[in-house]
Amino acid sequence: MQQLSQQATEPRLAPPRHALERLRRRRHIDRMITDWDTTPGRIRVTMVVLVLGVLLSGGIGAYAADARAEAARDIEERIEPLNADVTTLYQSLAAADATVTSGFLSGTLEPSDVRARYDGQIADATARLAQAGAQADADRVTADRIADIAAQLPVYTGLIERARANNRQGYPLGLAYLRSASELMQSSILPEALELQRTQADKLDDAYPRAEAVPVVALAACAVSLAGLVWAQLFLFRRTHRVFNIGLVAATGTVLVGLLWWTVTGVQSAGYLQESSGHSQPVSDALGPAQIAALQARATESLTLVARDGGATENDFDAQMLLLARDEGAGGALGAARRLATDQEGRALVETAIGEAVGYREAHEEVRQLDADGEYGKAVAAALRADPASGLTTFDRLESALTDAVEYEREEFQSDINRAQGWLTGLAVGIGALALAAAVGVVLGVRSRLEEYR
Amino acid sequence: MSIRSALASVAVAAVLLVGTTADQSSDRSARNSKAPASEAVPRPSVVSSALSEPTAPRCDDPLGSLRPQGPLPEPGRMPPGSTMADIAERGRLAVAVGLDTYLISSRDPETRQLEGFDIDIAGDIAEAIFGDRSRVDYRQLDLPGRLTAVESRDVDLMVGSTTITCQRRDQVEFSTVYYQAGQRVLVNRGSGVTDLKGLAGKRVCASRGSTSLQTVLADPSGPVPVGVPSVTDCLVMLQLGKVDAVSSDDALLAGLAAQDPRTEIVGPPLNEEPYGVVINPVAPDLVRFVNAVLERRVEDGRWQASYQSWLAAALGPPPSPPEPQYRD
Repeated sequence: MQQLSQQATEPRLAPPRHALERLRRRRHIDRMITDWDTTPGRIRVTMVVLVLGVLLSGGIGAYAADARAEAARDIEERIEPLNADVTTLYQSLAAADATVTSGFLSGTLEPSDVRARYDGQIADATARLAQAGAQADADRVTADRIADIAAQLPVYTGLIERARANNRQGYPLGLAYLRSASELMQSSILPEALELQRTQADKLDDAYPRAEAVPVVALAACAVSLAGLVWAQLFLFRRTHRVFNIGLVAATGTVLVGLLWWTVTGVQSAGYLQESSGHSQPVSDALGPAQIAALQARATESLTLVARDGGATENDFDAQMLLLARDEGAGGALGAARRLATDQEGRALVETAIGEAVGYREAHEEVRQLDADGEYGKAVAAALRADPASGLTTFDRLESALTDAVEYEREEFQSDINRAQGWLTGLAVGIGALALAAAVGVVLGVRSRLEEYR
Repeated sequence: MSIRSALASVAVAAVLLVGTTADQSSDRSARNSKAPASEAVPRPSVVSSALSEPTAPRCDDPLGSLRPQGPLPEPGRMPPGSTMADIAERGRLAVAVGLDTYLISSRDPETRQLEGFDIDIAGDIAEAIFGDRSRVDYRQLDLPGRLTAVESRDVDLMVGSTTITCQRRDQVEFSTVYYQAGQRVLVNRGSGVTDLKGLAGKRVCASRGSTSLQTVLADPSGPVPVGVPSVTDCLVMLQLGKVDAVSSDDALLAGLAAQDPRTEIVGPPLNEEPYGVVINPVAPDLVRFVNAVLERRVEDGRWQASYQSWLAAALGPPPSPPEPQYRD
């Protein structure tokens, strides 16, 4: 074999430089193979395999750590903020419609605080649209939806301004404009915003399994390296009759530390991720929709009174209230929120909101009864007056109860995801560094044995 | 639900119409202009219900109502056992009126009171029963809703600018004619349109279920009808450029013109739209009573005063009040 390779090295012409290089490498591999039956040869091969194994399992572990940290960062910095943006967008739009419609209940002069609230809600919606648009750059469908809403919003506000101008002059034409604006909002803009919100909620749900996935390949590679290190030490013990090889022991310890670090961190971060998901899910799947349903119900109630269709839109109100809280809060969005709530406080806040929803429903029924009896003036007064049982105050209480519940869950989400990320900090770099250290340990440990054979 | 879904279907229809108008007008110029409208124009789905309604059965005298029996009783002294006595006992008169229709029945946004030409009549009837014209419970409903409310006796009567037709007479009873309306056309000033004939292939808005919509649909010049819940919604469509004209009764158009000085009512009346108070046929005594109230308000000049204060500004000086016709 050696002769064969030597023949091959005899150049007829001066061989190119890289050919020589290749030959030298080949000769090295040939020597390892021919040396296999000698002890130093076997030790050398073992060393190479161990170094490669340790580095590989470290690389896989670091990659898995990075993937998890990346997924957690994705949730915290991109998906959840966009999710919160589109939910707030959706809510601001529904709130603006409810606000402006209730302003028409007061007659020809819209109260200035109602006007300011509407302006704020539209400004908020516009800002959220811009933010969501900037974050959704890569996602075509989402970007298109956002553009669609952005195109319709000025049409809506234009109709509202016409409604106001005509209402100010006491013309019923103003109410016809208000109806068509509200129609645009309720049947075109809000459904689009809802789709947007659902897409984002789904993305959030999809991101969690990615962040919580158990890194099976990394763990397996780590176990194989550990087994290899232990086998190598037994092998050296048999050949050299020395119990400890400091380099290999250190390498084994380093790999063990890495494994332990990954496991503890993995379990801890997964736990916090789980908890953060337990706080984001009630918001995106239940409390957010509950807020919208409440606002749409309120807008319908006001529209029924100002557009004076004699309760023809009452079915819409019922539908929204059923979406909000069916069967005294056992079903509907609030029922779901109560089931999804993961802690005592979250549940208590949802229960408060359920109580307020029942109170608002009762106030609404009083308004409808008065209107059905032909007592229009009293019905409007019942919807607007300041006492604790009026439509206005019960709705405000419902709205703030829902806001409290959402804010609580958001804060908990934020602190849990921060803790999860805290655990993951430095994991990828640390695992990489440990793998390098283990590889160095292997090389140093094995080389000291090899030198004994010179 | 009704208003939303209604407006939604209007929007859909409007979109459909925008998409088809150009083709239609070029089509039409190539065709015989006397071709029936139903062939020349693909009708949007919103008006299909109007098309499918059965043609009016022959009735000899749709305008003939029930003659008053003797003089009106004193307020508060209704004949025992009569429908009026039941109403007096209940204490309120339930009246269905139209959705906000300016000058006819619309709510003053400050006082929150309904007012207008129709409301004056309802007040006069309440005054004849109770001696108090404010004892009225108004239900504002769209036209199909108003007719249903009378049929199901949710209300005692309806004063809702409703044309007396043989077809409607199958379900409900009418009073004598309280106003002789005529269908005309409202367009933007300076549009150059002078009547419905000038609107061939153009979009013309009318309230859904109304006789006006059917007239537009049947017009041989081929305007494209667009139906919406109330005639006020038609003015929204006109101002937004989604329709080219509104066609409705002159009294209702007067209310629209008063809200938008850039519009004008053009053309001769296309037909006669006699308005009557609508009452359930099970209460012929109430029909006779209402007819007596209508006769008296013409005699004492209240009819003329009401016309003067609501409609004269847009429609000119009061015509002579309609002559009551009775079938017995």
